[in-house]
Amino acid sequence: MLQDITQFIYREARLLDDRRFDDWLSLFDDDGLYIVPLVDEAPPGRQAAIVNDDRMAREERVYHLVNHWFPAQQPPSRTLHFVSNVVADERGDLWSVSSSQLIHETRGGDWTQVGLGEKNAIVARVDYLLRRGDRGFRIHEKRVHLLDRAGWQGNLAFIY
Amino acid sequence: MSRTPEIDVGDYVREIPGQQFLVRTEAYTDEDVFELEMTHIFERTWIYVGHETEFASAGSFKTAYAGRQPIVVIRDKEGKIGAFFNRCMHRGATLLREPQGVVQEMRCPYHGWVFDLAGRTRLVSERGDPGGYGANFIEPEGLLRVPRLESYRGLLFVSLDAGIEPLASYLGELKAVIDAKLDLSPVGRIVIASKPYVCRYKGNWKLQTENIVDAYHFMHTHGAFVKLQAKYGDSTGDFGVHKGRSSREMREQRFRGETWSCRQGHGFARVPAADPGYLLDGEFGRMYRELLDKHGEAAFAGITAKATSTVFPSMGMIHQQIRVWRPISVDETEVLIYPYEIEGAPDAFNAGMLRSQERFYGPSGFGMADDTEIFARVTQGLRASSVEWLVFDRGMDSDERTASGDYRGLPSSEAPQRALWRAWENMMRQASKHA
Repeated sequence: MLQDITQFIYREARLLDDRRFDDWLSLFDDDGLYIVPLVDEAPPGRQAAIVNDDRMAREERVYHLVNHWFPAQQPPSRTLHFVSNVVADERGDLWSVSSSQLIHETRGGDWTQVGLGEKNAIVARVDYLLRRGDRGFRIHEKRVHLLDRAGWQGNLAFIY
Repeated sequence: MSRTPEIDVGDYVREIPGQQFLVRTEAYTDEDVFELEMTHIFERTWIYVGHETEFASAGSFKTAYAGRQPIVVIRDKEGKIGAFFNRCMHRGATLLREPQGVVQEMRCPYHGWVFDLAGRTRLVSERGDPGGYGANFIEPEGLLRVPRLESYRGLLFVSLDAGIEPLASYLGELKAVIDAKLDLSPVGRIVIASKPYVCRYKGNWKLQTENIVDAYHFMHTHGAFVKLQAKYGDSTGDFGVHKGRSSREMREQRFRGETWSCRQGHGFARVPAADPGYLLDGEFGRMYRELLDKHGEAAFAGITAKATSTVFPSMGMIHQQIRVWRPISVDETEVLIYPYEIEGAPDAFNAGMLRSQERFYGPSGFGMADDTEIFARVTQGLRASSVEWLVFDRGMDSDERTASGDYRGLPSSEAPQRALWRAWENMMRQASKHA
């Protein structure tokens, strides 16, 4: 089972790296959540998150990335995910999965331009709640705990 | 980035009334100009340091900067909020380093001196040790207090200039904008419950001051977001703020309203609600009808207008947030974005506003990252120092001088940007006299 789970997470990372965003969307449950919190413990409903995407917001994010020209993704980011330290526990009808991820991001183009050609490293613990169904796993929640969430962030206008 | 051998700030801003307004490239790129700004602007203006609701109990503190001087703002046991330079009176270590928190006392980690919540020296450690402090030791009474700390409706500002005009008078015409934003609350108060987004960009601090009140850039820098709204509308947290309509309707809506250039350097742009009837009959109609009854039609129009504003030099109110920016160097700036809640509004209203902040602001939002990307491009472009001037002429011929000495412009005028530069030139002239 751990191997199946690990393979699923590797594939999820690969879809993002390959910019196959529509396939990435289909990995989620309809009521699934993609969330990047700003703080660890927050009063519910009273703390802004960096990303707080339900199904519609995920679709919007992908539509924006794929169809629109906008300054923060011109040129677009390339990413490469490194996934390790996968730990999985069964919790009711869900699998609770924790992983360490090192996500390298760079934007191509003329490297003399500010912000382009720089290699940025995003270091995060990425926790998943996975639901096992007839068609394999579905993501019920993907929660990205940025290591430097207490500090300042640069341009994170891509999916990570 | 660069240094000019002699600064003549008298020639950094060139205004031909009603016709032309130019700003010199070096105003954004010169390190000596930046040094002068830190002392002669940031130490002589009112600097926002927090909101009263962030200091819930005795010992609640926030750290901040006035220019480059570190400050701690803290509530004492009597409930009074004080502002001190964040430095031990002994040998200089900063006392508190977290952005905010709660402490019992301020204890220096270096040699263990302790200051109470009112800033008074409470303990000089190992005082009587052999070779310690003798009978003639002049003990510092306490931390050095920042000369001025004042609140306007819970918004706390400090100034290092003891002789500066009172905050309420300094805010001038901008008070109307703050009042309208706070009066959206049935009890006239806001609450800061969320920790802020923190961003940095490669660019001068004045790019943020200009941009937060820039109606002109929205359809261009954020043109893709306007299209996104047309497709997804309210469904992902639009919440009537950047109202999801067609690009044409968005443009027409933006041609209503007014812009202001305040003599103190503040600027704002205000656009009336697209459809007040929609508010009165909508999900939160009861709240809006009560506001209409309480304040009357004219004030209600102000309360429901969308206003974006800046308090010179480094604070702004836009959407439902307070924004603060801190110059780090001539070409690096830190931006804090604090979403706030409307006290007394339904939970669903505040929750919806928070979703709309997440949608547009923050490092993964659909707006903020575009602005900071543009700032970096401006910084890059300004390296073409062979081009002498930036152009701020827009709306010059239609701005009207008011009796108060401010300027009121048409909706897409660059009047708010000119406010910054008029005040900047005035203060920097004083600086070169003293230099």
